[in-house]
Amino acid sequence: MYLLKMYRHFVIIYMKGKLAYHFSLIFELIANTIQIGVYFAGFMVIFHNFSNIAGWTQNEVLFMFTTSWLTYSLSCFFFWSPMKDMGELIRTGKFDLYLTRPIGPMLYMVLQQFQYTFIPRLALSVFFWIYSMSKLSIEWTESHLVFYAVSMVSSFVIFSAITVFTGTICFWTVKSEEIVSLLTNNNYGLKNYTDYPITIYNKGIRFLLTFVIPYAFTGYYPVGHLLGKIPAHSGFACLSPVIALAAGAAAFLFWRTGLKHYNSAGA
Amino acid sequence: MRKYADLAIIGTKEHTAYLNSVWANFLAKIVYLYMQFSLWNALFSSNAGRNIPLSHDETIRYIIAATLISTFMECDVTMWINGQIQSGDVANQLIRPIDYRIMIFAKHIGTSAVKLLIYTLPFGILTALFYHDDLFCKEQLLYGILSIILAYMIQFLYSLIIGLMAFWLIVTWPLNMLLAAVYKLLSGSWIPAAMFPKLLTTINMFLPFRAIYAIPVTIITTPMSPGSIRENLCFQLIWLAVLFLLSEVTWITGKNKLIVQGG
Amino acid sequence: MSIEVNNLTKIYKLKRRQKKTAVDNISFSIPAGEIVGFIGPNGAGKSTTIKMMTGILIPDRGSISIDGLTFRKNRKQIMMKTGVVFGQKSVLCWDIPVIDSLKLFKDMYRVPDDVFKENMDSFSNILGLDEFIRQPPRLLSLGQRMKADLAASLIYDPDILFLDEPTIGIDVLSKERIRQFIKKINEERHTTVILTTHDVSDIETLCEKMIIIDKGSLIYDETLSDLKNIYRTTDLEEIIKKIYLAGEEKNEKIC
Repeated sequence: MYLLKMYRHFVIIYMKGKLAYHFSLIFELIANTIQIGVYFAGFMVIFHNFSNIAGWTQNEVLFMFTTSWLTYSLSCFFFWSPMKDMGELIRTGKFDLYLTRPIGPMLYMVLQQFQYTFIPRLALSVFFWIYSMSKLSIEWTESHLVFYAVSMVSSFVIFSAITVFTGTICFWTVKSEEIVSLLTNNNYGLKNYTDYPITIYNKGIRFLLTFVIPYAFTGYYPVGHLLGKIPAHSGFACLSPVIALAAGAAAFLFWRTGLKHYNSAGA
Repeated sequence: MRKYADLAIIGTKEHTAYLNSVWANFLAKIVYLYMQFSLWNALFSSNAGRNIPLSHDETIRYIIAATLISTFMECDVTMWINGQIQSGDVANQLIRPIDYRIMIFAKHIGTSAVKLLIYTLPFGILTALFYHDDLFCKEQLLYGILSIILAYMIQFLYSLIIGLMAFWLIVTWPLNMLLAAVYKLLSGSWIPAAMFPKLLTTINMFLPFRAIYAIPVTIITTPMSPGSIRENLCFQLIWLAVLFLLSEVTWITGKNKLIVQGG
Repeated sequence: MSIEVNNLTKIYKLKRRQKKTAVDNISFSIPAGEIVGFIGPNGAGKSTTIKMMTGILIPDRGSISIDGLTFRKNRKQIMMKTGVVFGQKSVLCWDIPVIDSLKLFKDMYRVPDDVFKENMDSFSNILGLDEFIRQPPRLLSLGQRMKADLAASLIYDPDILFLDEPTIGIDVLSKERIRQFIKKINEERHTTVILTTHDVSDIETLCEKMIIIDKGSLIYDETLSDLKNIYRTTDLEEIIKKIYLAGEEKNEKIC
């Protein structure tokens, strides 16, 4: 209750601060909308020429990556900005201030902001998610619904865990922007790999996306299973919660270790 | 001339100051090219027999050449100018005996030279190891290089104009991000422009973007008739002239705004 | 709340297995309700000690107990009762009115409405908060910002207040107000205040006791009047200078 109240208060204040520059705020949102919109446009251009990729139709691929993007945007509302700023916070010593609060530093950073710039991505993802779902005839039985919901939650956890991982590196190197960008950059990030069925890549990359940086569990495996696209790897689809749990636990422990390192070595 | 050479050297030094980011940039290019490569290969192999404006081979050549060119074409000119205008540094630059735009251009050339050496060259060797066929269309190579040079200048002028927008905007990154997205699609650096649907092709006819990637990359990788090569080069020349005039106007109005209002 | 520091040691690991002892076996105690000046030359281990006392750093050896509580077990409890003001880093939100930040702290530290109102009234009187409370920190002068920061860190009635260079870069009149305010808070609420500063007049007007640290070791832990007796002068600046110089000479001898 206390945390919810604090979060509400924090977010109101955060948005109030942003609204002080409301022109920029609107501009940012428009820019984000166009950026994401262009990505979808490009996707449409590709499928204007081709009817399928590795046996997946346009709407199937669309359904897969909007599922993933949806949970990604939700995760980014909370974790993206704190983890992106970690390097800066440690460099300037502002992180010290968070350590003197009655709320833990991670919780404090998550609560004190709301990354509204992901709203356009979420909105467009939801739009194309509904669109693709209406075009596909998925049998929404109870077990399918439960499976899909569990996969979405797992996907949220996986994305958050990866983001926390990248931020935690700052406790040691201070500069982790490059790693973050290699993973999530809109143009060349590894995350983009999972916008298409991972069977189009070679074995090494598939292994990487499954077991090392488990992006494949945020879209490919669960949706592939739901659509009956991956009979050979159906078992994998049910692993999502396990992977999510493992990734979440690993990120948590890594963060704890990082914090301990900071506590004992300073910046 | 010497002072411009000095500036170019500063540009090279600034770029190589952070070795980590050099590695990251290089890795990013490989990650990107591999994704493109896998994507287009998969698209062609799962759609055999479909009528597609570019052949499988041409498409692969196109994306390799486009990524190769992007290793030195992309630049930080917009960011430099944004930064200098926002921090007020630009006023100091105006006092100097060198023209501001030429100064930026000199620095840009220096950076590009380094990029050619540390990205384009190794990257080219790397792709040559994996791609054994002829990447370039030998007969058109000269025209291709000419077209790349034109594209380079157009790209610079375009970045310059966007950079100068900082005279009027408080926050510049949304504009940069927005244009970067449009640029990525319309320039043809992502998807070969030949594959665009009619509407997009028509819109693109009246915009400079395709002069930066689509035209030089197509000339260098795909056999064309001499007539259409000439046509494409003319398109580039016209846009070069237009953007030059535009940059002149933006610069003069921006400078006057600075002098009158004091930044 | 009283603070008990025992055999505190902090060693930083540098590159190539080199080690630097930043704080070396320091012990002292600060009774509740006292104002203590914490001084030492730059790089003496002062800020490392403060960081350990505020729970930012964990000591390698030794213990810190605050009214019997330790950071390891009672971290949240201690944080609820501690105020921290760093002269260089503001705790306020940059773009929103100061009052909103204060209200945020009210919720964060669970301050009852009546206490909040009472505190606001008394702070406004001394610090003149009313003048700028509706403005965001980015529009405030350094002095105003420090006043706002102090208000934010005291709105929840902490028992201990850490002040790290609170008067740095601030004009004479504002300095005076800030000192009066600290004094008043200490008298009325028995807040323990730990103050680091390079400004001797801060210490002169506020502190009863001084803790001097140099090269990681505790050199003095005395009342101001005792120090003046030892050095036979009332000029505090002179005394501090002598102590620092003695430290440097000792260093040269060792070399």
